[in-house]
Amino acid sequence: MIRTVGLTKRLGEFQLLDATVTIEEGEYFVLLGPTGAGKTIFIECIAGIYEPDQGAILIGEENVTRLRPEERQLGYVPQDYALFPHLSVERNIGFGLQIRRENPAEIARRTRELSDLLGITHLLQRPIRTLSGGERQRVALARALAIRPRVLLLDEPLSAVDEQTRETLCAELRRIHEELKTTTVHVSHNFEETLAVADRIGVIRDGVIQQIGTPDDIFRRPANRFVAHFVRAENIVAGEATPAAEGVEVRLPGGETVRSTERLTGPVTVVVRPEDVEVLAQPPTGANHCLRGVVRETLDRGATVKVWIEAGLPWVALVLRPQWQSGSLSRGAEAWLRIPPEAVHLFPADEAEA
Amino acid sequence: MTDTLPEARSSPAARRDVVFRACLAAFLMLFVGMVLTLVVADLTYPKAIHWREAFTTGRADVWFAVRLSLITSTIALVASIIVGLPAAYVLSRFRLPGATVIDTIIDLPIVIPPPVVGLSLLVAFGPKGFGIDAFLERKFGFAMMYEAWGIPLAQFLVAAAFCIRALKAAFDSINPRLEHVARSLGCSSWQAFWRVSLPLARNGLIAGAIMTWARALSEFGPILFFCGATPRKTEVMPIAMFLNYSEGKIERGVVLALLMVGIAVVTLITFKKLGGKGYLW
Repeated sequence: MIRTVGLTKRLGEFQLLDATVTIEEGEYFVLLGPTGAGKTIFIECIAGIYEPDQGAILIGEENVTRLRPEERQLGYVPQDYALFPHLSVERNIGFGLQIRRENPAEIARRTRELSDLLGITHLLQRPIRTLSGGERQRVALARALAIRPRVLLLDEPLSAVDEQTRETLCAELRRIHEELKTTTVHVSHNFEETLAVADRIGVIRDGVIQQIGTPDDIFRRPANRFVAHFVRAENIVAGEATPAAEGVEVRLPGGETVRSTERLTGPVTVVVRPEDVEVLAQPPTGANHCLRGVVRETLDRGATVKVWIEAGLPWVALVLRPQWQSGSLSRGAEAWLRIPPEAVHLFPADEAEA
Repeated sequence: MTDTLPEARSSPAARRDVVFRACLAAFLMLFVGMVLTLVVADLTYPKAIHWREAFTTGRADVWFAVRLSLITSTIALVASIIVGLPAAYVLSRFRLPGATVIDTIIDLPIVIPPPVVGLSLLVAFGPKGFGIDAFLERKFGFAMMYEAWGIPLAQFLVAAAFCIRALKAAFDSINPRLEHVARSLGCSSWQAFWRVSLPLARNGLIAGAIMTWARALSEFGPILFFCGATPRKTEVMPIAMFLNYSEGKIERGVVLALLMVGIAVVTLITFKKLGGKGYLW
């Protein structure tokens, strides 16, 4: 288990303010936030590269706040991987063990074991400069894991690789985590990457942690406007909620109403994910709750189609290609929006955010 | 598909580009030509007989100057590295209070006219200044003022400043994250320096050392002031050239000049090779 308590560090224009996070033993935790949000400071404080201005870092029951990096037994993979360019892949992986004066046979065994796990055994004799981005990432991971770290720290591990490699590596990170169960702290600015690997997510902005929760919490129940924006819940509007059967009814600025199964009343902010908005070309049969509007714009994104619809307020919907009826839903056409009450998330309206 | 395409239109802009480039290149060639002219002038001046004489006969045979130059500048180099290596690492890695002031002081010996260094040494060592020379004489039995012993010191002052700059550049080019990772893998700060930064900076360090040495070798002003121009005593190559010239032995002076040009060319080539070659191991 690793715990930060009120961790604060100001470093030039970057800062981390009062970060209190508990990461359970064996958990894969991702700190998610835009560039410059203080993510890297968080991980570098844990790694021991910077001493925090305030607060404490605990690993298990040990307070490591004042320890130097070499006293912490943590596996650190920085953003650019920082592989040692003067050493072969094999010597890179074995570096930490060599410093610990492990015997050569044990170093060779451990190097072999990790390179097998990461599928880089064929690269062992190669110099670093000949490796691709994905290969570098695996070598850096193997090097960090070789010392059997108490916690694995990954700083934007997938930002330097191309889109396809990223998907593969996400799956890989997850697989390795399942196998080794090393407590992992991963920082990322990429939401898809985060969803793919995290047990739990913390969202950070301007050095302040905004929300900590499961991927589902963050994705479906963002705690504020910033988180909602960041996870691309594109329909975020203010409203007034009043009790109704099986939840609340929210009156929107345009006068229309939507229903929610949540039970928050008063001034609220409504969040609906675009993929939860159903777009119909004909008025639905039955008494289903619907919004009526006009298609303003469509954007073909390959697997999905993004649709902007004016229905009192501008709504955004994301429609899967097979469900897309292009003929009847072109620009200017009438459309009906069905928004399932269980997909309507509410949080208290915050004047500062409005 | 054998369609005949319309002929490509000739481009006036392309012609203007050629003129533009030619004009700029002319200035470059002008300067290169000037430098080459000087070297060629030197090369054609002494005849074979002068070369022979320079190394065999006369009061100050050239060998003495070459030997003294090599010895003193190598001592200056070793001293520069001993001081420069830690100094450069500190400047590259740590935030020092008063860093800009320190930085300026380091650059001072490079920027001030070299004779000023010599005169300042003279003042500091002389009896009316700090009397360092008398102190050395008393305590250790050797003096530096107007002695060959002073030459490495005069060279060191300028060369060390240069050395710190060059070595700092070498350390600056090493990503500090490599040290961070090394630390996280269990290295002490000393081990991280020794096992990661130093081997990675190796080529830059060697290149810096070579230039430092060349710098020490070319020192003239400080030596002239601090150690004097005494034949067969403080006669390093630049001083020897100066002495020969003063005595009207121009050819012999030019032979020395050409030797120094030769050394400069070799050091420059080595320096550039090391700088651009990347990691050797």
